[in-house]
Amino acid sequence: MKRGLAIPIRWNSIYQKLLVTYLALTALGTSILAAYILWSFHVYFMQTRQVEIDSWTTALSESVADALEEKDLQRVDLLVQRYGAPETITLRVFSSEGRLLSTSSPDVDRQITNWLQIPGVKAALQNQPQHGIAKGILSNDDRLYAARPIFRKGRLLGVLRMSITLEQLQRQFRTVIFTVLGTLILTLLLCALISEWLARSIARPIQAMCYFAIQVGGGHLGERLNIRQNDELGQLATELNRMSQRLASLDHERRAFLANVSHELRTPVSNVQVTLEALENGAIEEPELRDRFIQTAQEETTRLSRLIKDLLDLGRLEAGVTSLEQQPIKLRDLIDRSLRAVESRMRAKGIHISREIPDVQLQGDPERLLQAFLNILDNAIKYSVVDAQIWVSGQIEASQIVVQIRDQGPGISKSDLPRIFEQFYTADPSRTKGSGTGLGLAIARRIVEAHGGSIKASNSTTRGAIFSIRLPLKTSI
Amino acid sequence: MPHVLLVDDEAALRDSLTYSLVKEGYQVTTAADGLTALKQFHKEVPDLIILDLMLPQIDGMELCWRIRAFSNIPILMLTAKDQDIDKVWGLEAGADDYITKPFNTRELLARIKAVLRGRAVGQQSK
Repeated sequence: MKRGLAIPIRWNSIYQKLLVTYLALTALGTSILAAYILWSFHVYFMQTRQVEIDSWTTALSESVADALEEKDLQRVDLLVQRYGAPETITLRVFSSEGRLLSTSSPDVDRQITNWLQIPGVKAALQNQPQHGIAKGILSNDDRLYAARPIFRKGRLLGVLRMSITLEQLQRQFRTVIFTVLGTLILTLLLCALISEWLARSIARPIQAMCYFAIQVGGGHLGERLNIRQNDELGQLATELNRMSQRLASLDHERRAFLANVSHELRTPVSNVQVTLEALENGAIEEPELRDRFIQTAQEETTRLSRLIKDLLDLGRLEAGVTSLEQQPIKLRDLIDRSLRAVESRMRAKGIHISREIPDVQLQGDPERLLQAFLNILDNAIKYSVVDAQIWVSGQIEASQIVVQIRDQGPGISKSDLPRIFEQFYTADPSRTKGSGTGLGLAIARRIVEAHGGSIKASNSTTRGAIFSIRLPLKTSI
Repeated sequence: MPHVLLVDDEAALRDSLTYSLVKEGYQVTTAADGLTALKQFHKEVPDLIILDLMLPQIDGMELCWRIRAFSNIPILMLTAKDQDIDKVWGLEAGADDYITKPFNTRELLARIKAVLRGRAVGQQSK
């Protein structure tokens, strides 16, 4: 079973489907997670900075208000210079008319003519504090700004505008993005490895079972799958093994049956041939021998035709070709008919019969059931000694009738009991004793089973064998 | 007059084959089962045994093994078992020839002669 385990590359194979699904799902999941983490980081940082710059402007605007109230522009300048920092923090103070009073970056501001265009200034002059993100004045870096009107005793003294660069933050954030992306790729690689292993571990047994099914289908019966798993696949493998074993044993039975049929047919044919050849060799000249040999040939021919009839019966019953008649049968009449049929043989052997059958009705094929009872009676007579007794009794059990046929023969040995209904199985290895074909009990069992009943052999506690035939009673409509 | 021991549980075959053998000039003893055959063998050692395989009491194959343990007598297996493996086992067990039923009496007689002739040549050259 080693061959064929390599998984061929097929785009619609289970392996590929599983692998692609696993990978797509993990990629989607981790990407969404990474995007969410980055976005929420970004929002958090921005909000923190915004809150910071808001609180700074609030504090500063009070100090600037004090200075403006005293019209001390020098102090305003001092404050602006102290808190402003080149490039990173820019502070500007405007008068209530929108004129620039002080700035921390005079080099840039000299080039500005219209301050009202700078984001936040116009709104602040109209008493509305404003904050947000805007491009730097004359530069391209993103800046966070806050513009706040300066009030004192209900009078607008001016506007304070503060802006800080986001460049540093963005640089930091870029590092975070690369870290997260790196982790994402690593996670995806790990997931790919695990998915590959998982997909393979599921696909491999399926592949093995596929190959196994092809083997069994091709006639390699009795092969075994070696898959030990506790899941459904393991269960399936166990069932496939059971199926394979069952097929192998059926095949073995069939072969054994054919070998037996061949043997059983050859023996009488051979006997007829040898006998006819003996007649040809000169026995025909001697009247006594001639009569005996002709009788032998006739007996062997009868034996052969009986065997062929039994084989055909059995074959038809097994194939289910024979359609069983469905008619009401009086069990007592059926048993009496079978007893009459064997009466002469019983009388010849001095066998007594005792019959006790309740008056019940069955449904089925009377000729077939008669054949089943006759076969079992034949068997009982065959193993009975002279002057023995055979009991035929019936007992109703629920909706069934159990007919027991008990003899006083030697009984059936324990090793023979389970096999007694097999074709050609007799307790006698040479098989030729008596008149049976070795098929009688097998045929009886098939007939009874075809009627929805069952048949069982056991030994009497005293002496002899008991055959119990269980048949369903006709339900009165 | 060569002595043949015919072992077969089929009465019809024993009866008619005995006639043909006697007619051909053989002295014939018969046995219906393995045990009787063994007793017959010890009572009077035959020149050849015709042996069926499916026998009551002692199976033909086993009988062949047992006889081969102490005797080199020609054994001809005559059986309805026709599978190759049976033939191989039969010959391995020590049979000199293996004939499947049904068979032609003339062929059987010819084979008996051939086996006996082979033995005679073997004994001369010793």
